[in-house]
Amino acid sequence: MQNNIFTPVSPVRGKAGASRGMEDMMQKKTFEVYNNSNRAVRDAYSMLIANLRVCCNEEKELKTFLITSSNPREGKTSVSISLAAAAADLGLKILLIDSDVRKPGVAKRLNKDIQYGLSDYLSGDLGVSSIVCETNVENLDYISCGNDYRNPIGILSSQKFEKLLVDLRPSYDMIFLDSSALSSVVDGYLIASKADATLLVVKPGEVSLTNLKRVKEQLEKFNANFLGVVLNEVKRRDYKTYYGAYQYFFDTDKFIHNKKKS
Amino acid sequence: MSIQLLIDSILRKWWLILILVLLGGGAGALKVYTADPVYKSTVTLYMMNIDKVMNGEEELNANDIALSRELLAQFADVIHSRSVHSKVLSDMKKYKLTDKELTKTTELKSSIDSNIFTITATSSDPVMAADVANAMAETFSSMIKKLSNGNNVGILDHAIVAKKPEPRNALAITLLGAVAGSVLAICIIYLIQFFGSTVYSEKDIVEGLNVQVVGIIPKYNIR
Repeated sequence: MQNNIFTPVSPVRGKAGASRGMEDMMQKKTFEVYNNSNRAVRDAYSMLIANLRVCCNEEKELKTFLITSSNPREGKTSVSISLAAAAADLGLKILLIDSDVRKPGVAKRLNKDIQYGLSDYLSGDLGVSSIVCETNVENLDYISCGNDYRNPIGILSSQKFEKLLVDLRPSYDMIFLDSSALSSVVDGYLIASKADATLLVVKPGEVSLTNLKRVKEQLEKFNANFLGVVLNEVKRRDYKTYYGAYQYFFDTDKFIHNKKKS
Repeated sequence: MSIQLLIDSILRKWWLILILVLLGGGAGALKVYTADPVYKSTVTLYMMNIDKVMNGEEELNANDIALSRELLAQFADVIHSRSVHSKVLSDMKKYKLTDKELTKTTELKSSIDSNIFTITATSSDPVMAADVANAMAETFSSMIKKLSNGNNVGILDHAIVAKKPEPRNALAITLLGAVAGSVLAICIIYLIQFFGSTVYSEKDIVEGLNVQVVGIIPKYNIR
């Protein structure tokens, strides 16, 4: 994978492309998190995508996935971005929606250049095409959260939102929604009731079982399809117990380089 | 709770063990080095009827020795009787000891089947230790002589003022402190693990939550 950096580009009608001035700064910032040249991380995401593709309902294919977590700062945004990027790399057509509409878009690191997003669309008169951005990752489109943070619960529980998801389904293989933490506000649950499946990101050592049980019960109350848990930021020592010999991650580039030398 | 889980949580909280071990060892060392030095003085006595021998007439026979031994065994407790204590306390008035202190710091020791026994006294003042030991020995022997109406006990060696204090066992006590610290740490960790319900692994989630784990993402610094 040549280009790892995820920078959304907004094709707002009437404007000749969004300003790219912040890109260099953004590139530097995002580099650490989405450094997919780390083989272990890359393979982990491939495995996750494979699992998601396999978990099909008999009735309908799972296309919209909500990625959320119990507590804030467990890494759900990183996971959703990396997941979307990895899936796009596999050739699937992916849409990533930042549905954390509580925070104004400009405050977030990803949305520095974006004009309009989800909340603007849901509470205003914009067309869908004005909020969907292309990105520099092929096959990956992005909808930012938008700047209208006045009525998050209203817009997330609206018919318009549901219709949006239905309309977008045919255009993409998978749609990922990144949301607010479940323990903070009810937004996540609202989206969970509309998505095909919900993934819970858990960082080991950060959250208690009672907390998670409560989250699970709530999800069931909202009729969400709680697909499973994604363990994030697993430390090396623990990771070894899952995938014993991770020296297995053969470094192709180094091998070829060494071969060339000799 | 399985051993593996316990070991795992202990390794995770190794810092707690380290802190408590250092604290325990430190406390032990502190106790050892700030305690006053203790001096011990010993008086050696014999229990035997020497009148017979002194007169030059008779030799000792087995009965005499056996009698003396019995005497010692039976009357050893006299050393802490009120009569002995009160006499010693009044003799040692300058040291202002109490009855309890005297009981605590003096001791009569004898090997089984031996006619030789010792009276020891300990104190932070070496001179006091020697004086008290001597006073105890004198009073004890005169009391025994009175009770048995004979010259059955005598002093072999008087107590001398100790030049060096008793060994302090610094290392042993420090280590003991450290071990106590580690035990406390392990107990705390066990309790935390037992009552806490933080999720640490796939197993915790699958067992506790009854959902599947669809992905495991390593921390980005794993090579």
